[in-house]
Amino acid sequence: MAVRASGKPVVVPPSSTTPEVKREPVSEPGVLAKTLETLTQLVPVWRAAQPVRTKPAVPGVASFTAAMASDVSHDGWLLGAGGKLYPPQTFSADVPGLMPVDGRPIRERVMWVNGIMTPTPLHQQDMQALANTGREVVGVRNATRGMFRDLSQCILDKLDLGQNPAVDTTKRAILDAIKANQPLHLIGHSQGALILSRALFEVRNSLMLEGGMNAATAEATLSNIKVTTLGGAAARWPDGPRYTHWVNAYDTVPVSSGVAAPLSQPGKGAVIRQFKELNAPSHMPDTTDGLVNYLARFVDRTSHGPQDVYLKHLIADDRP
Amino acid sequence: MTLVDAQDMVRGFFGALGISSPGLTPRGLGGAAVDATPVAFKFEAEVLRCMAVVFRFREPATPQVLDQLMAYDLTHGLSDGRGKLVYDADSLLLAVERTYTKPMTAKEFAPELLELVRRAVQWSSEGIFEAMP
Repeated sequence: MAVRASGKPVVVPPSSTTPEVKREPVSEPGVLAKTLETLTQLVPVWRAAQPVRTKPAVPGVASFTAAMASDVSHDGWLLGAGGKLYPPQTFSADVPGLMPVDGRPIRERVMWVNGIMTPTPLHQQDMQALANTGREVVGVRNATRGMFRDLSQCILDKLDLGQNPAVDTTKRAILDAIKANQPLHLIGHSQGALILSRALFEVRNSLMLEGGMNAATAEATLSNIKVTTLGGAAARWPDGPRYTHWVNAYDTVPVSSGVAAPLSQPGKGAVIRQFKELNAPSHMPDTTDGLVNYLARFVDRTSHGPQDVYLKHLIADDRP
Repeated sequence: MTLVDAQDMVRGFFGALGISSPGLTPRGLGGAAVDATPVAFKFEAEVLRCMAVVFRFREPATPQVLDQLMAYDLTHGLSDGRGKLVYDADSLLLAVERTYTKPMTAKEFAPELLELVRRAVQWSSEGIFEAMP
């Protein structure tokens, strides 16, 4: 199993802060995401001037660009053990998740939604790193390269209008857990948190609009859902679930568009675990497989990546 | 407005975001995801309808639910021409909608659509919660 190497952390142990809960119009897409979106437009020109690629962009991924292109058809699919992908309609509890490689006991089962610029093999690596802490991990594929997507090519008839595959899959998993009265732990990294936020609002709205619940009952029904965000890009969360938001103060995503942004709404009773870590970039991919990919990995290595930054703090928190 | 005009507008919107897209299908349907919010495009009877999705029902919405939502929309002034709350019985979508009968440039069109998305998110996160008892 390939694990991305980190640079040297330069500062500060984890510390807790108390969230401030206010209501305010929605935030803009994150600064980082906007930058990446703009840079995406420059890639074709830039790539044309580059020599032939000599080194994989992501460990274990022959071509980042090819991996992202093939990913689109699996948007919203479930990712399980052995890298096997399951169609969105699959009952999520039936999907075998990734397990610890050393066979240690499982303490819980979690569902992980990835952020932008994360092809399936990299998502799988992140999931395995978390699984190795004693968790069974199932993934929900969020196949986007940016904050915007064209769904026109997927629209076959009127019934397809308004679909959002990763949100729909996550929503279905939450509703299944509620129906079965089973706990569910969701983890969202970066834009994956935005997917979770949207799915949770949709579930709450479904309970109220279709299930006839009032607001208090809907919130109580969601209390069996546990949510952990890692550098999340969502500032608004419905009350009800039990939230832990991990925020690196040097990470622009949660600071500009997530729960660390001014006037965010992190959910009633949310715990915000804030820390500071800025690493020197190391083990960077070859630039010939895309400037956008290079920058995304740079951001991951230095301040935003699950394995490079966030999982270390999550794991440290596991220790008694 | 013709189907070609509508296709050009939607294609221009995607182009402004750096995405290559055909715009609409030959049947006049299209879609986008902005952040995690779906946007649906529907061209019919010389009108381009743009709907930022608030909620997608699995079964047709009951009149009581729709009445409550529309009443809230009226009293809170969210339907001010920049995004009206609508229920599309055909696709079971609750959405904020703007309609266009004349072509416009991507520079004019894109900000209006992004504003529509903001309104849909506001409805999804707060409007429904406050509208229902």
